[in-house]
Amino acid sequence: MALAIHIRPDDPTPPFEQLRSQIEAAIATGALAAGTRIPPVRQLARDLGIAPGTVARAYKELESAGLVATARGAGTTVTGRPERVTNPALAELTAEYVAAARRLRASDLAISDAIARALTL
Amino acid sequence: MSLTVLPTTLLLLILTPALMVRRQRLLPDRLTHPALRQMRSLQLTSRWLGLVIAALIALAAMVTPSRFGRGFMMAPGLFSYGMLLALLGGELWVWRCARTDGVASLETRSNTSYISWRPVATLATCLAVLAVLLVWALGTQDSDPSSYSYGRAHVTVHPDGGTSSWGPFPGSFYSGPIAIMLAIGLVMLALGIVITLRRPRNGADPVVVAVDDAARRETIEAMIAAVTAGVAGTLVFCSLLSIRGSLWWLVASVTGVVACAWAFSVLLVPGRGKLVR
Repeated sequence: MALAIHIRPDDPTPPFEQLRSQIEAAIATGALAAGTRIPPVRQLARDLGIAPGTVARAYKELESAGLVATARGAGTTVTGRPERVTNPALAELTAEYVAAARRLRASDLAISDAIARALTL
Repeated sequence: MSLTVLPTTLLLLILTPALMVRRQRLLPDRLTHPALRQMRSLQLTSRWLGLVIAALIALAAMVTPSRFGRGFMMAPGLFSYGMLLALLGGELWVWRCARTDGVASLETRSNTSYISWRPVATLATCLAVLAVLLVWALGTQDSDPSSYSYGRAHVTVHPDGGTSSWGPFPGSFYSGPIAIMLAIGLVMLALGIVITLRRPRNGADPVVVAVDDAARRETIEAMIAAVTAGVAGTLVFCSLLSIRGSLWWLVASVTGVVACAWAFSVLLVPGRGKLVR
C-alpha cells in the first residue's frame, strides 16, 4: 500500500507545508526510496480535494531541496534522502522509538506512516 | 434477406445469455463502506437507465420515417451514444464517492491497468471488418435506379453486356453518415475513459482501492462494449442488407453477431472483470 497523506483543515500549518513535510519525512525514514515515482500534481490534488497549486508548491519546494526531481513525460521521482545535521538527542530518541516499534513487529512503512500522522497533529 | 435474419437473430439470442451467465456481479450488499455502496448503487442505476434510454433512442431511429432507411442504419450508433452518455453521467454522478477530503496516498495509478485488451481487440476487430466491408462497397456502388440516389445500389455487369442492380446497398449513401457517427463515438469513448481514469479516490484505504479499481475496470469495459455494440450492430445491419451468399458477407455478419452478444452481456451484467497488471 502506498504512503498515506493527511491534510488537516484545522491545522494552522498551511496545506502545502503539511504535504511537503510528510513527503520529506517519508523520504528521510526511507519509506519513499530513491527512484520511487510520486503521483502527478493534478491527481494528488484531486484525491486530496485541494488546489493543484498547493500540491505544485509542495513539489517545487521538495525539488528545490533536492529531494525530488520532475522530468517532462516521466513525472516526479524521489532522488534521495535529505542531508541534515542531526540532533544527537533526537537521533537517540528516534532510534529508541524505531526499536520499540520493531518489537511490535511494525513494518518500516507503518513506522514512517505513524510518524507522518504524528507530525500533522 | 429473410433467410439470414432468422439465423442471425437466433445466434444473438443464444449467445448473449450464455455470455451473461459467465459473468459475476459485485453486489452492493457485499460492500460495508457506505460511500462505496452509494457509488455502486448510483453506477448501476445510471447503467440501467442508460440501457433503457439508449434502446428507446435506437427504436425511435428505426421506426421514424427517414430517407431510404438511413435512420435504421444509424440506430446502432445512436444506441452506443445513449449508452456512453449514461455511463459518463454515472461517473460524474459518483465523482466524490470514493474520495475522503484531506486523505490520499502517494500512489501512481497506471491507466493501462484498467483497460483490458480483450474488449479493445473485439472493438478493433469489428471496426476493421466494417471498414473493409464499407471500402469494398464504395468500390462497387452505383446509383439506385428507382431513386437515383448514388451509393445506394450494387450493379453487376453480365457477360452479355447487360446489367442488373440490387439495393439497398451499404455504399456512400449510408456509409458516409455511418463513418461520421462512429468517429464521433470513438471520440466520446476516449473522453469517457479519460474522465473515468481521473476520478479521485482515497488510495490510503485498501477497501476503497479494491472496490474502486473494480468499478473503474467495469465502467471502462462497459464504455468499450457500448461502442462495440454500435459498430457490431452496424456491421450486422450492413451485412444483412448485402448478403448474397458469399462467404465474406457471412463472416462479417457472424463477427458482428458474436461481438454484439459480448457487448450486450457486458452492458447487462457488470461483472468483476480482471485486473490487468
